[in-house]
Amino acid sequence: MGIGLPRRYLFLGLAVIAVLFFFPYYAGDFRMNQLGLFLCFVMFALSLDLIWGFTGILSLGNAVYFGGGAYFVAMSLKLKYAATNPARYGSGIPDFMEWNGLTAVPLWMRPLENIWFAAPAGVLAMGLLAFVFGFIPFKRHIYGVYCAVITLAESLIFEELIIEKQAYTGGFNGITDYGSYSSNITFYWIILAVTVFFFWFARRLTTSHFGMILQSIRENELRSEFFGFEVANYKIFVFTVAAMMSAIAGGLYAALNGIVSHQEIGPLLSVEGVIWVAVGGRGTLIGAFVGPILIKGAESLLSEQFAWLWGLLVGLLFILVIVLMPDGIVGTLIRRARRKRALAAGRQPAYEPSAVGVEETPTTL
Amino acid sequence: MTANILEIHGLVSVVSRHPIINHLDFAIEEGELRVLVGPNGAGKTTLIDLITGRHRPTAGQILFKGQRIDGRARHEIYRLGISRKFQVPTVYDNLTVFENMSIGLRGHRSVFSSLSYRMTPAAVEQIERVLAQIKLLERAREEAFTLSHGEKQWLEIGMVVASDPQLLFLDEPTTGMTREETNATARLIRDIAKTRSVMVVEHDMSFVRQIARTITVLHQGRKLAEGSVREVEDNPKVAEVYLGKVKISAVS
Amino acid sequence: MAQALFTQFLTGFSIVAILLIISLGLAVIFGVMRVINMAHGDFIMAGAYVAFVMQEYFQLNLFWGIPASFLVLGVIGMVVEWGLIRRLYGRPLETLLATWGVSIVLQQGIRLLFGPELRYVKAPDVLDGGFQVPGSNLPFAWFRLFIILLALGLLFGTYWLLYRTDFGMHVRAVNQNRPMAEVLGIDTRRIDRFVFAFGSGLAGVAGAILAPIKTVSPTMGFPYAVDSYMVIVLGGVGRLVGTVAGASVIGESETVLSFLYNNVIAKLLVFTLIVLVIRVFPQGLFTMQRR
Repeated sequence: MGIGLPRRYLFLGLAVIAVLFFFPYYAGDFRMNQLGLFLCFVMFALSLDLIWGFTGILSLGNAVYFGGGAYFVAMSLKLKYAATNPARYGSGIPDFMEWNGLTAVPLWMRPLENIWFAAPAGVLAMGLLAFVFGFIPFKRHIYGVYCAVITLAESLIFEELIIEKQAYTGGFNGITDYGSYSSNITFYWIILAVTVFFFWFARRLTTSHFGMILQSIRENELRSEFFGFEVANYKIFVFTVAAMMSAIAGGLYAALNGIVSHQEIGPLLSVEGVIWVAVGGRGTLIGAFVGPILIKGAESLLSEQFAWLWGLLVGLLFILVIVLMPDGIVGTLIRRARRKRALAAGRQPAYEPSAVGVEETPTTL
Repeated sequence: MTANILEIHGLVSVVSRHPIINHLDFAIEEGELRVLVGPNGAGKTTLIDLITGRHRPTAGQILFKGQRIDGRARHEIYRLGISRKFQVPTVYDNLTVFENMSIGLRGHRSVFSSLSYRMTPAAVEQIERVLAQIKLLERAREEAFTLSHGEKQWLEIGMVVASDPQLLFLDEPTTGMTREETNATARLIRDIAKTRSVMVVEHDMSFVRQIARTITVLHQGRKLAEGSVREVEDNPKVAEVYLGKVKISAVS
Repeated sequence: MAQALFTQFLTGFSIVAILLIISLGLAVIFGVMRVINMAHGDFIMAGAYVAFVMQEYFQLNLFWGIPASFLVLGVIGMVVEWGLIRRLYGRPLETLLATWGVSIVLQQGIRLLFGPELRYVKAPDVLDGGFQVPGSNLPFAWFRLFIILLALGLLFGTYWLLYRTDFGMHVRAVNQNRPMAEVLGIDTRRIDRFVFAFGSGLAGVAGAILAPIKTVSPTMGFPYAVDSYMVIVLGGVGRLVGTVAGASVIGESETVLSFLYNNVIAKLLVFTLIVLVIRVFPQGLFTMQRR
């Protein structure tokens, strides 16, 4: 839709980036770390917006790629930490390996000791995994609800596998205590830079011809098939790209957080991501920023007092958004602007589809 | 004799033990403008579904320019040069008219070619030309959901024309149109048919008379009659099947 | 080894029965309304809590708990359908998400009411103990036999409802051709409401019957939900035989493979099996043709 943004949005964006850039100076270390983590979630939400908001693929298991990337980085940092801290790791190998009877780092894990190998390897591995996981439903033209359920099952199985292989993954507790880059302002800026880059990249992708085809798939995938597009390939491609984005976000998260566990892989985070995008506004890109910041921010401010109520509120909020405001916050604003435009041009459309193609039952052609 | 662009031999399609297409033999000549009529349930849309690859036939052969296409994938069939317009106008509501048209444009179908695709001035010109033909040029930058039903029909026709197919199927293109819109559509279709083969499915006999040279009548999945408008209208079997509808609309 | 496998096979029956009980409600709802209820697992959980409440506060055993769960969840289902599902008609993905919201609300609500601790529900005393299955040395608990009989009972009950009553005929009409059913004067909204209530009630029963086997907690429902989705994906939609087939294949495979390898590998292999099957039958093993 549109090639460039009006000037005022560009300035607004730069202002936001400036605020985020200088955030550590006036908010202190703790909040900076928090915001860093939130930005990782923003990147995760952005990848979800690409596959769901723009292409119409509802995946309830995308945290697998986020967590997978996180595990690669965490493992690498852990191996390094254990090897270089004899005071705490006498045998030089991670604690969970020792507890499970390993005496040395397995050969196939050795390359992970180098972070410059482990991080890209994680991203590529997640890309490959997404390719396979996407291939399964997409090539068979399985979409909608069936596809969502399959992605859910995939993520659950993956989560259980990770927990089960505790000798290599730290099991239920995950990978902990490997030093981290928290309270490191440079690392925070790196996260910010990657986030901005991802937004730029997503914008380029979605406003290109390719992006338009993705949206046509979201609107009516059957129709696009009849226009000669092999929809499965498009879906697999964007699904893989999104997974790799998630993996990068997950890796940064791991480096910042100092702990990675099955919670970063399982359906809980996956669905949380969907909630963020739904509330922020799917198909808008900006919504992927608004959603997580708003919800996670509110959670951190409110849950200190209202921890017991918070979960309930999120659930109710989610229901309300889906029923009353399916376009999300940003989406609803866009829709209002669009309606104004249409009325100004003298058009009175018979109906108004949601601004971002909120899904209807596939039309009987 | 002109070659047949489409040939169908012994086509059968059985769904839930019910034969929707029942040993149909059918052919369209190159450059022809054919009209397909028949009562509801005759199998007209199903026939198009089978040709364009929406469903696999249970038996029989479909040949496009001598090549078998039955059982092939939808996007492959499209790329061979067959396009269809659906009964219900099916355009992309949230994309602009211009964007809708550019989806229709031929070429750069694969993922990687679409990633590197940049719209050429020639392509823009082609789109604008078709938009002018379907009278939607001023609406080019507006989202498609603002169009009226008839305008959406034309947009979809424009989209399939932009794809420059060799064989084009139009499924009830005048449903919901006014008299003037219908006449304009007739002119548009005659124009389109000058450079390609077209098959139109229709119910509106006055519209059919404006465009048809040869009509095929389908009934219960079989060819009931075929010939010029006159021949078909005078055919007693056809009249029987339509319960006199043909004669009535001859009056209207 | 062969006898061990046979033993596992027999054990599998009760797993199949459990899967059937869990999935029946969802299958009926999905078959008619094409709605995946993400809160299905939590309806099961709520059913377990109803049984718990009956036991703790009314001193009534499971024979009372089961019908109570059916009624309570039936009412909850009706409320959810009226308040939520109805408004999202024709938007299956939206409905899926909204019911996920219901799931969160239910879990949090139960946690607020009962706390996060594990609760225990007893099987009725009369069902204590077991018997020896002839032909093997497998001890079979009476309660497991009860589960199997209940599963069969529910299956036949659902079959009778769908195929031997007027209401069921209307349901099947809506299932096959909704617009046509509407034109013929069937109140499809009312059918939806009752179908959803019925399916939710069945979920409640599942919860009650599972309460003695697994400990009751606010998060117990989720794995069951995913299992039931898999039964439907494999077995197909709109036909009871599909649900039975799905439950049987998954139940037996999981039991036997768990025995041969371990739980997680078994799940992985079963999932792979399902994926392979849907490559050949994308709509599941038995599916109803819909206009």
